[in-house]
This record gives sequence, structure tokens and C-alpha cells, in this order.
Amino acid sequence: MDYTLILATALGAISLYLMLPRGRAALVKLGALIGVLALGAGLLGWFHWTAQEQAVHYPGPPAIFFYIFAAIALASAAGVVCHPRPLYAALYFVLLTLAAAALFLLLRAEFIAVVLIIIYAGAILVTYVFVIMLASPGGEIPAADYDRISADPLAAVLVSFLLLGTILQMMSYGQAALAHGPGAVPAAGPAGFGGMGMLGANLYSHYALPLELAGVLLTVSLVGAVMIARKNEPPVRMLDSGEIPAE
Amino acid sequence: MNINLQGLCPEIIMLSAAALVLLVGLCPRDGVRRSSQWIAAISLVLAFIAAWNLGPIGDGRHWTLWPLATYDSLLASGIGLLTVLASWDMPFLDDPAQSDKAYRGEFFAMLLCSLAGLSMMAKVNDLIWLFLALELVSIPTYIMVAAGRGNAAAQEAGVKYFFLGALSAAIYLFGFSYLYGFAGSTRFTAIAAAFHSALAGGHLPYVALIGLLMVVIGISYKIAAVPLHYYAPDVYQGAATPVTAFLSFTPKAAGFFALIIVFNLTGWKLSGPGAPGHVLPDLLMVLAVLTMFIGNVLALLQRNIKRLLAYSSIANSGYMLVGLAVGPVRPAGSAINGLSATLFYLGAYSLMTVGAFAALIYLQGKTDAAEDLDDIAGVAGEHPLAAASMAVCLFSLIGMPGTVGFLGKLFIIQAALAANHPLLAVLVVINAAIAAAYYLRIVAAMYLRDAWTPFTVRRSLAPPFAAALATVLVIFFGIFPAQLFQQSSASGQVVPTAVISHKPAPVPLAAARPPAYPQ
Repeated sequence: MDYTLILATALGAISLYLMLPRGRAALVKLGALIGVLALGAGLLGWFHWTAQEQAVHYPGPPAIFFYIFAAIALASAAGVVCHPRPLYAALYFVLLTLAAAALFLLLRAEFIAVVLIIIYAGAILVTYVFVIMLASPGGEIPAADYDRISADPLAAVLVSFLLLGTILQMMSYGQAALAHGPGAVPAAGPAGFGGMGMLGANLYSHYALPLELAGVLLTVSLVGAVMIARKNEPPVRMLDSGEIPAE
Repeated sequence: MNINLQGLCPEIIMLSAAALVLLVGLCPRDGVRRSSQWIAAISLVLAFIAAWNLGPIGDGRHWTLWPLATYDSLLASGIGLLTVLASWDMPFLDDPAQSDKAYRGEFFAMLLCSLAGLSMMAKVNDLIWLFLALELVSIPTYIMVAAGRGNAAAQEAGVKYFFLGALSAAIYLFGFSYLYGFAGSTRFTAIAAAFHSALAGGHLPYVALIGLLMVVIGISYKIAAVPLHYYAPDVYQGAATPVTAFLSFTPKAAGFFALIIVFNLTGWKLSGPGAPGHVLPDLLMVLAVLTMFIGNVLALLQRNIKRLLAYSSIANSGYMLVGLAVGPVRPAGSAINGLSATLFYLGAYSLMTVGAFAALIYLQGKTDAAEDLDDIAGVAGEHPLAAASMAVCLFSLIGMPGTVGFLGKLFIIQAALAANHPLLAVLVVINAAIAAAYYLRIVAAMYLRDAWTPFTVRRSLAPPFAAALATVLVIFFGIFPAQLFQQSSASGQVVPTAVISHKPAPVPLAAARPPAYPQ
């Protein structure tokens, strides 16, 4: 058992439990403090683990970038679940997506990084924000109860951190077993796999025509949306038809 | 991808015309905006000529144009032209008399895009391209259904058609992903090679089987065949009649071409006792029989002509599925195989159903009013030509000798018999007999009953012209089928991709490596 990891997980659970919105502000700061402690314990566990694993060193960017983006990701993840106003929670999620994309970039998984931004930050979150802004009253009206007070904080925190703890234990102890089991990590792809260069070369060589077709498809959808939306408008009078508008 | 752009000439013409129509449809001058129908019609004529002159292209290894692709393009542009003529008044929404104020030229851009998707269906060489082509066929039709008419039924039809269509797209995309997982590539050559080696080894992995199954089920929505046929009556009824005419042809043809292309990847070696994966052709036969019976029996209960034709379109998919299930294996001494019978029937069905709809559009007058059988009762007295062309198309759908529908059914039955499926042939005959009952009810209403209400017909000449053209072609091909038969039997011979040895194309990567991070 890796006690630092367990400690970090438990501290994180307590911190998140305290930070979840309950209509009282006082506990949030205490929760955040414990959260920082949890982060420290997590870092300790991380050092311990990498020392044990003697992780493969490959030429990469300095580790400080990892810590910065990881901290941003963790903090904004806490913001997503803890912020009492849904719109801010959605914006925190955008931040989380960007930070996670940066982490993927550090691993040179450029394709996944870009897709994460395009799909989550670009498409899904924009839709969420639209829905939230349409559905919730703005201005000085206080948010609804179900927004201000989280529904079942203890059960949610317990379940999610049990899951997290299990995954962390798996990662620190099960990796050796996983490498030889049926779910073994596949061998690395060809050089440049997942990079922008390969993506671009493929998109504009083998997939040039589907790319163009996707453009046509988007145009059609765009025009179609306008067609459907403008249906109930009164017809526009044309200036050259010689008619004078009725008003 | 090694595309020869010359081979895509018909699609390029259609898409350019679609762009032109979008521009012209926004012009402030009425006269210019009114030209969008003409642009659509002329571009389809040009596309038809281009498709006609399209020879075989390619050496079979990279991107090759097979006779199937030519047939597909000819069908898309030819029948497409009929649908454009039939929907000549569509941009005026409900009432042609309102003329230019509510003019909606974009309708024809949607129609052209959808036809372009259909036309490239048999030219695709990659799963991703196939998916995009299917969506290019479908998405404009969703828009046409939703925007075609202002009433609540059209809204319901639009929403229903869109959501179920998205569901079916998800299903066949799921199937494509399994096929990709099976072959490790989306390229058709690679997938065909994977099927070839798997079938040669006598063992087909479940991944491939599930993938094919999902593709068949998902595409059965496009062809309105049994597992996903429920939407058809409501959507056909709710949509404006010109859109219904379009729906009865384009998605169905696209679905059948897609099915043929996907089964080409297997080399059609699935059927036969003991063959691995023979469950799939068996399933196709079950689907075909269910589709025929459900379509025909439920059509007997209908009084609304559009609903009736919707069930008729379901039943016709069943006949075509029979040919598909029999496959292209041609026993010695038989002039026709299942695939070419299906393709012939597809052409015949498109002609007669679009002809029937064009006549209905003409008879419906300005407000899409005539939908019930009573509405066209006794119409033969006042509009004998329109009634006659409708009657000819319906007789052809029944399968009367002398019409193209008779030859279509004959070839399908022949193919089923030649491939040693006598039961299927008998079931097709039984269904043709059931179908005669409800088609004859329309004919009887037109000719034997007295007029119920005074008729208002469309003033535009294009829909009756389309109906007349389709009727003449139905009779012409019924008596001189050589041209259509040649095209369809040439396309029915193809087994394009399966015979190609797999040589993966190298991905150019020399300059694509990211620079190493500074240490």
C-alpha cells in the first residue's frame, strides 16, 4: 500500500466535501486549505512513485510546465463542481479542458489535444453555455436552490474518491502486471503518430476529398438552419417590384 | 487517394450548380431568382451527359470507376431531373399564385446536394467518404422535409425524420467503426483484403460480422426496410408532396448503392451453406420477406394516397432486398443475377414511383389538398391525361406486362429461382398479388367513381411534363428494356475491391516529425 497516495486521496475527499456548495461560505476556505495539503501529499506520493518506477526519461519539456498545468486543471476541476453558479462552472470546465489539452501537448499527443479543445471547449461547452444562459435567470436574481446547495455531497464524494483511490493504486502497483496482461499497452505507433504533421499530411492527401465533402456538408447544414428558422418570417418586400410597403 | 477528378465530373457539376442556386436564390431581382429551377434542371441534364460519357477509369488498384458508378450517376441525374420538374413550384411554398414574395430558391440547392451525394455513392473508396456521402444525401432531405411546408404535420415529420435519421446514422457509423477495427484501415482495399484472407481461412471474426450487421440495420432506415421502417408513412404524409417524391427515390437508391458497396467488400462470399458469416445473407432474406409483407399488408389499410405510396415504397424495398440477398452469383445458363435484378428494379421503381408522385402533384392543385382517395375520385373525366399517366405508373408498380415494373419483378423472380431460392420467388409473386389490390383501388377511384369536389390543378407545366416523361419511359423500357438492362447488368457484374491484393499506401511522413524539445 502506498500510504502517501491514500493520504492524498483522503485529504482531497475531505477538501472537496467541505468546498461543495452548501449555502455557507466559511467552510470553503478551510476546504481549500485542506485541498492544498492534499496536493502536497499527492506530490510526495508522485515523487515516491517515480523513484520506485525509475520512469523512462525521454527528452521532453521541463517538468515545471506539467506542475503548472496540472495545478490549473485540478483547481478548475474543483471549480466545476463547487461553483454555485452554473455559468461559472461551465467556464471552469473550459479552463479544465484547456489545461488538460496542454498536458496532452506536453506528451506530444497533439491530435488529442486539439480534438479535446475543438470538441469539448468548442462544441459541447458552447452548447452548454447557450442552454444555461437561455434557461437560467441572470442579474440579481439569486440562483435556484438546486444550484446553490449540492444534492448529496457525502455520497458523491465517497463514491468518486473511492474510484479515484482505486485507480491510483492500480497505477502505482498494477502497472507491471498490466504490461503483460491481455490489456497490454500497445506498441507505439509509427514516428510522428498523433502529431499535427501526420494529421495534415493525411487530411490533404488521402482524405482530401472527404475533407471537401465535410465542408459541403457544413455549408448545407448552415443554409438549412437558416431556411428552417426564417420560415415564419413575413416575406420581405422587394424594392424593385414597384410595391410600396403597406405601413 | 489518387482521385481522378474527371470521374467526379457529374458531382462537380451538381455541387457547382448548387452553389450557383444558393447565390441566385438571394438575388433581389425576381426574374433572376426564378432562374434557379432552370439552373438545377440544366445542371442535371449536363450531369447526365457527363455520366453518359464516363468510361471506365483506373486500373483497379487505386481509384477505379466501375460500371456501377456510371449507373449510379445516370440514375441520380436522370431521375433527379424528373424530381426537379415535379417540384418546380416548390419555391413558392404553398401557393404559386403568391409568386415571388415567398420564393425559396435554396430548395433546389438542397436537392442538388442530395443528388450529388447519391451520384458519388458508388465511387467511394473509403469508409469515411462513404459515411460523408450518405450524410450528404440525408441532411438536405431533413431540411427539405422540415422547411417544405408550414403546417404542424410537416414539423412533426421533419423532427421525426431528423432524429430517427441521426439514430440510423449512429448505427451504421458504429458498424463502420467495427469494420475499421476489423481491417485496421478505412480504405476499401484494406477492408476487402481483410475479408478475403479471413474468408479464405474459413473463419470470420465476430467484429466483422457485427460491423456488417450494424451497417445493414442502419442503412435499412435509408431504404425504409423492416427494422427501421416505422417513420416512412408519417414522414411521407407530412412532407410536401414534391419532397415526398424526392424521398421515395434518393435516400432509397443511396441506401441500396451503399449496401451493394459494403457487400462488395466481402466479395459476396458469405452466402452458401457452411460459408462463414452465411447468417448475414440469411438475415437479408428474412428482412426482405418481412419488408414485403409488412409493406403490402399495411398498405391495404390506407386511404391516404401518400401513406399508401409510403407503404408501397417499403414493399418495393423488400423486392429489391430479395435480389440483394441472392447476390451476384450467377449460375450457368442464367441471364441475370440478383444484383443486376436489384439494380434494374431500382431504376424501374424510381421511374414509376416518381411518375406517380408527379401526377399526384399535378392533381393536388395549389395547396397539397388532395391526399385522400376521395379527393381524386372521378378525376379521369376532367383530366384524362394526368389520370392515365398515374394509372400507367400504378400498373407498372403492380407489374403489368408491357411496363417496366413487370420486367423488374420478372428479373428478381428469375434471379431467385436461378440461385435456388424457389420459396423467395413464390413469396415475391404472392406479394405482387397483394399489392395489386391497393394500387387498383387508386385506379378504380380515378376511373370508376364520380367526382366529389371540383378539381384545382397546378398551372405550372413542369409536373405534368415530368409525369408524362416518366410514363413514356415506363412504357418504353417495358417494351425495349435493352438500354436499361445493359446498364444494370453491367453494373451487376462488379466485384471491384475484393480481388485487389492489399498494398497499403505509405503515409508521407518524411517532413512531418515534430522538432525535438530543447534539452
